[in-house]
Amino acid sequence: MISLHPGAASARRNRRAKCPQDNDGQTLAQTVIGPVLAQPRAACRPIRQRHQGNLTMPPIPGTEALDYLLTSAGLDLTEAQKADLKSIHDGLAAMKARVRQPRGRMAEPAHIYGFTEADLT
Amino acid sequence: MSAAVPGIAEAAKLIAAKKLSPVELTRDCLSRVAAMDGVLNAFILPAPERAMADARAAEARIMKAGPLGPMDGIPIGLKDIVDTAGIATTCQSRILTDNVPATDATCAAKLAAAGTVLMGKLTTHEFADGGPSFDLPKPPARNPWNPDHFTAGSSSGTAAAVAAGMILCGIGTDTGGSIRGPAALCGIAGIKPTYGLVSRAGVAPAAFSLDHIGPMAWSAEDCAIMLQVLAGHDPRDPACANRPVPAYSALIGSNLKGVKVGVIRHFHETDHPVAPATQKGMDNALMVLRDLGAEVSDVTVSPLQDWHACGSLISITERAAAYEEWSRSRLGDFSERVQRRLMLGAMVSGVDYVQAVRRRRELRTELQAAMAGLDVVITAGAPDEAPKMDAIPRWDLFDRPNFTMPFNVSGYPAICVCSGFGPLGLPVSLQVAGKPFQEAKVFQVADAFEKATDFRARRPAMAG
Repeated sequence: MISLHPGAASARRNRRAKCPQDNDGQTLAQTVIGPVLAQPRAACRPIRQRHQGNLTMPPIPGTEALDYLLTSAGLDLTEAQKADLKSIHDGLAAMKARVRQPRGRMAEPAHIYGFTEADLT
Repeated sequence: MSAAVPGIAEAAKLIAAKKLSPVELTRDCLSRVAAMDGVLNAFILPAPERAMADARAAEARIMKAGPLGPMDGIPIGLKDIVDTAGIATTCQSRILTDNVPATDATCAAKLAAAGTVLMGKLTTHEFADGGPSFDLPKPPARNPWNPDHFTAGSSSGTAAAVAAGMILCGIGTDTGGSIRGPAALCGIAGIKPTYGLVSRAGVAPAAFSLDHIGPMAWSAEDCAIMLQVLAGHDPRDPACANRPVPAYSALIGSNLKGVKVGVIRHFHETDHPVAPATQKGMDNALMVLRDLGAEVSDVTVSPLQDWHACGSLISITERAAAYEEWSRSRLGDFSERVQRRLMLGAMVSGVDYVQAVRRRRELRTELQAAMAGLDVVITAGAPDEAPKMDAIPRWDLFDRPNFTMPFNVSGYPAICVCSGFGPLGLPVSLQVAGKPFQEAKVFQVADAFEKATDFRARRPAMAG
């Protein structure tokens, strides 16, 4: 049984209260940053205002940054594919925001395991 | 082609009583494949010769010494990401067009040892991802209730073939809903068992920590019979649980008096509001379950979007890792949809992944607490009737959260069963999830619901 960070439950409640858009059938991206997306793109750039949980929503990567990520991954993409990737940036950023909670450094991931008898034989 | 298609339970009784010949049953299924698969594309590779050989062997065995068990002589199919010795396993990909495995996947071997009749390899989305794709070696499967409509995926061929009566059951795999989604849209039953209950050995990975192998059949009772063959420890799968296998049909046919059912109402009413037909199916299901004696109460967990985000980030990353070599060297050989999914791996950092895995632990703990004192929880299986084939968004991952992902993230068992039909005449569905390794309880509730309603009496019109 894992103990959550003491503040996690109330933080979740608070977060839900801050996300009434959860209830109106919008897309994931709209749910988290809909009001921001409704503004002109330039207005979206002050990312400090786009705070969600522990994450400030990052800006859409520029050409150099995207090329760096793709080169690191060993992927050779066309310009159309790169544009395609940029088009879902907000949806992906919304997902990343949702997995970041005010949980503190001690919170363990799910992959932690204990050794069993089989490890000893 | 006969008018009626028996389920496994019914066929097994008739076969054991020597009133149904496995050879005749197999011929009937083959005639359905011949009549319908030109439209449905449920099979990537039909194997009629193998099927007839298996059927004759089963018949000889049964006539001599009786059936090995309830699966003896039952026509089945395997999703084409399941290795089959000597039979091509292409994963519906140009990359593996010529791949012929030397050994069976554990699930395939177990089904063969139970005496089943292998009808062939079933259509899947490429490497169990994306779809529908029209730029692959074979066309996507179509929904037997209306071939203009989607089956969902990725176990698309299995669902279509079961619904059309081409097979009595088949193997599906489920990383975010790939058993339950197609089961829901094709009006059959499909269970994602507890993580680790069924060996993944010999099955192409999608995302290691979310992948499950499970049965798809016409009813919950049939799924229970099939799961009995599949469950059990396998040292070839490092995640496979080493624990006793209970009798999954033990509670089939029993009433629900005292069974405690939680409803995660906010999933399907507010987080992702379902269509009126699905909502009507849910409301009706709650009424039926109460009438059967269940005690129903509401439960609340984190929003559906949180579960979807957590599972999606894990899935994107693990898939990118599994297919990294081919992504780097042969990206253009994947379908456009899978290319897009693999590209996403470059956009998710190691820290993003670990935060998702930390969130996973929190969500699992939350579900564990929410289910304390309950036997099962229920929510919708899919938001609506099946959409048209050409109506699937380009980036469907970011379109809407799905109802199935919470139980991949948690690893808890969950089944989708038909809960009615919508205005287009296509099925809608209900999802029942249980506690880890409590599949028998999940089957009990799903079976009781199916038997208290008449939805199992209706097959797609094209299936007779």
